[in-house]
Amino acid sequence: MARSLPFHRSLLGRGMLLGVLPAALVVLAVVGLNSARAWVSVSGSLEDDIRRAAELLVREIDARNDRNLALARLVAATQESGQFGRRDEALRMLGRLVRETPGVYGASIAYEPDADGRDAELGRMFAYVRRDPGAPGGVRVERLESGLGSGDADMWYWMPRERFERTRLREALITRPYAYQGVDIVEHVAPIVVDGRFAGVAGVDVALTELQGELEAIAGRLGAEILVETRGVFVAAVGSAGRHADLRAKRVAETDLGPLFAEAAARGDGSWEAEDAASGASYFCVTASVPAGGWRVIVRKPMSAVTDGIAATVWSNLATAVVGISIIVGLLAAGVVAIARRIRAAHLLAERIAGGDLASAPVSVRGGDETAELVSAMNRMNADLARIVTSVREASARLGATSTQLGATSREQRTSVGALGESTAQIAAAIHEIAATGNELLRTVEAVDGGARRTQTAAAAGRSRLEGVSETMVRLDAGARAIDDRLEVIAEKAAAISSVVVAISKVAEQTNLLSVNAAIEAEKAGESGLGFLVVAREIRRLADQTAGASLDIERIVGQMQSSVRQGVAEMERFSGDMRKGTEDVHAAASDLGGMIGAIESSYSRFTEVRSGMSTQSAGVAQIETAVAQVAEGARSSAAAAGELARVADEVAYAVAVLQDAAARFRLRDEEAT
Amino acid sequence: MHVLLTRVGGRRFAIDCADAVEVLPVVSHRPAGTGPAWLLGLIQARGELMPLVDLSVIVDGTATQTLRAARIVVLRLDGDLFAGLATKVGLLVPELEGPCERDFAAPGAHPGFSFAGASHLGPTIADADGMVQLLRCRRLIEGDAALRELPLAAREDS
Repeated sequence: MARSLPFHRSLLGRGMLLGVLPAALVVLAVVGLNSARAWVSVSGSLEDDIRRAAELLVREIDARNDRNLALARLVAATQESGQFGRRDEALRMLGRLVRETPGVYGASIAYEPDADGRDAELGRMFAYVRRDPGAPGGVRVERLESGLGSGDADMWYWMPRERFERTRLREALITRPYAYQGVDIVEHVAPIVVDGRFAGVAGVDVALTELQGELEAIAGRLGAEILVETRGVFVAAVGSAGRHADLRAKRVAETDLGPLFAEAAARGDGSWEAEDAASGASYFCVTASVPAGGWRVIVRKPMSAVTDGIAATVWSNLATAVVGISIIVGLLAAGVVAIARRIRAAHLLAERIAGGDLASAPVSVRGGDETAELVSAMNRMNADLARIVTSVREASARLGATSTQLGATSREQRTSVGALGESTAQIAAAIHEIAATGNELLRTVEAVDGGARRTQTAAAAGRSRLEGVSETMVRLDAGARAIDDRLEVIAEKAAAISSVVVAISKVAEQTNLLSVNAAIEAEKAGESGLGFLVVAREIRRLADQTAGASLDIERIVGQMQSSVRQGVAEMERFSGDMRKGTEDVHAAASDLGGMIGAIESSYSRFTEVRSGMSTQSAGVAQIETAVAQVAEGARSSAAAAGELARVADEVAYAVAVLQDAAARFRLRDEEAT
Repeated sequence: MHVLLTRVGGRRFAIDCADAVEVLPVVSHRPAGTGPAWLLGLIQARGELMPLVDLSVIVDGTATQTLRAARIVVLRLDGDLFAGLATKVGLLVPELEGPCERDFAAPGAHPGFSFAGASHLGPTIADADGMVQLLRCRRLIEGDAALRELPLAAREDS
């Protein structure tokens, strides 16, 4: 029975540890990396959106403020350019401006006391025209209630006057927000300058409720808060579900948003993350300043609004990953369990076979993978083993019978080989006698053969001597030729000597002539030439002797040449004689050769007789040897028969062992035992 | 006196060494054409051209056989020879011996004969080998009136 294994060593456990666990870790890592990347990119893009929105907002507010400042300058300019003092015209123009310019709530013109010299008649010019849907023409003209003091509500008047007197610039300004008759406004004001003196102020109002309404729409779209401030006072504060609705025209430092603006003023334009002082929530803030009017805008959005979307994505990824991994684990476990079952079946079968039980039924398998093939191979092996064991049993039974027969036969054989040995010894004795007789006959024939051989040897010697004579003659002929050649050489040398002698005679003659001439010259010299004359004479004498000697040599050489010629003729004759003699000797040798051939043929016949005799003798010896071999064979056969009997015993023993071993296996038709 | 000895037609003659300039072996000559028999032609000896005269014709009337022993003796002849043109003459002799000492002024010497056609033959003496007659070389040609004629062509400028 299969032992139960610990989980981490079982197939399923290994599949989990080596396959599923690494796969799960890899999937988790991928999901984590993707989430981090999504977090960074999404939060970056959201922050960019808020930055762009803040930028647009600032531009919009800047454009509005610019326009309103320009309107205030325009009103002041109309006063300065001829309308100053014409109060009715000025009021009509203001009325038209307020009526026809959207976004403008009211407009005003105020003069310095008695600036146009008509205060005694009409009172000081301090007129305000404001939008009033209930009044005829949509506008109402009233006398301004403030402007004469130095507080916030009178800022619209003293601020431009002070600025002009300090800088002499006709610059338009925006006041702090303030409430005028219950309406929160900011006023755009410009100084009216007549003849270089400050003569009054022209102003254009904007109601903050209108601005606030527009900003609300934008804040709703962004999901963010928009806070606008100037000179420490809120211009507008929207978003955050109306939490800031009552902050308009309030002082910033007095609210809980004071620290935020302080930080924005310290940082300048840009973005940062800050905690809200009231709620403690974290916000993403963007701030920018509006050039016209020096307003500061802050747009802020809670960080939770940024991160919530990303977190949802990450969680959904993670859930998908977990589900996927679970499915993989399930499939793998199912597959591994099936494989483990098949392998266990194969294991059981193998253990049964090892125990000698070949009777078990084949294990049934489904599916077609390698483990299924393994099980079916084990089945086949079981069946094959059963067949082999059956065959072995049958074969060993047959082998036992055969080995018994073999033992009996080998014993019979040993008996008959003994009888054969005796007969062979008798035959050997008879043959030995025949061999002795044959050898005697052979010796007689060999004696006769010896005589014939001597005759043949003598004849061969005669012929070889004749050949020797022939060779000697040939050598003599060659010698005669050599002498002939030498003689020719001598003749050539003699000719060379003759030519030398001629040269010597010529020299002697020249010398003679020279001595004669010398003597003549000496004679002419008289007494002083006498000595030389003697020398010349001596030379002449020597020359004459030389000539004589050379003549002698010439003669001797001539005789020598004639002797050589004679010698050559003699040698030629001798050579002719030699050639004839050689031919005679050849003829004699050929006659003797014929005779020797006859002797050799008779000798060869003797040789045939002798070789026939010796062949016969050798045949008898061979027969003797063969009989001896037969005897030896008989002896060794007896030994072999003994060996055979021993081997047969061993075979019988081995068969018994084999049958024992085969009996260990239990076959299907023997299950009863 | 020192003389050179020669033999012509079995007679021995002597030539005074004082007349001889040198002795040459036989050289080939340029024939003179159909002139007198004794004038063989011109030879060249040491760069000089000179007539060749055959002694055998003069003293014996037969031409010299130019064998190996024959020689040419160059003579210096002062005088009115060949219209004064030649000072050296080659004399072809059949054989030559000497120089040797012979005294033709000895008391036993024969002074020779004096008649026309023999003026070139001088005194004769006897020595161990027989008679020897001195040849007067200047007279060899002068002696014969015919020889004094002009065997040479007239000079173009004369």
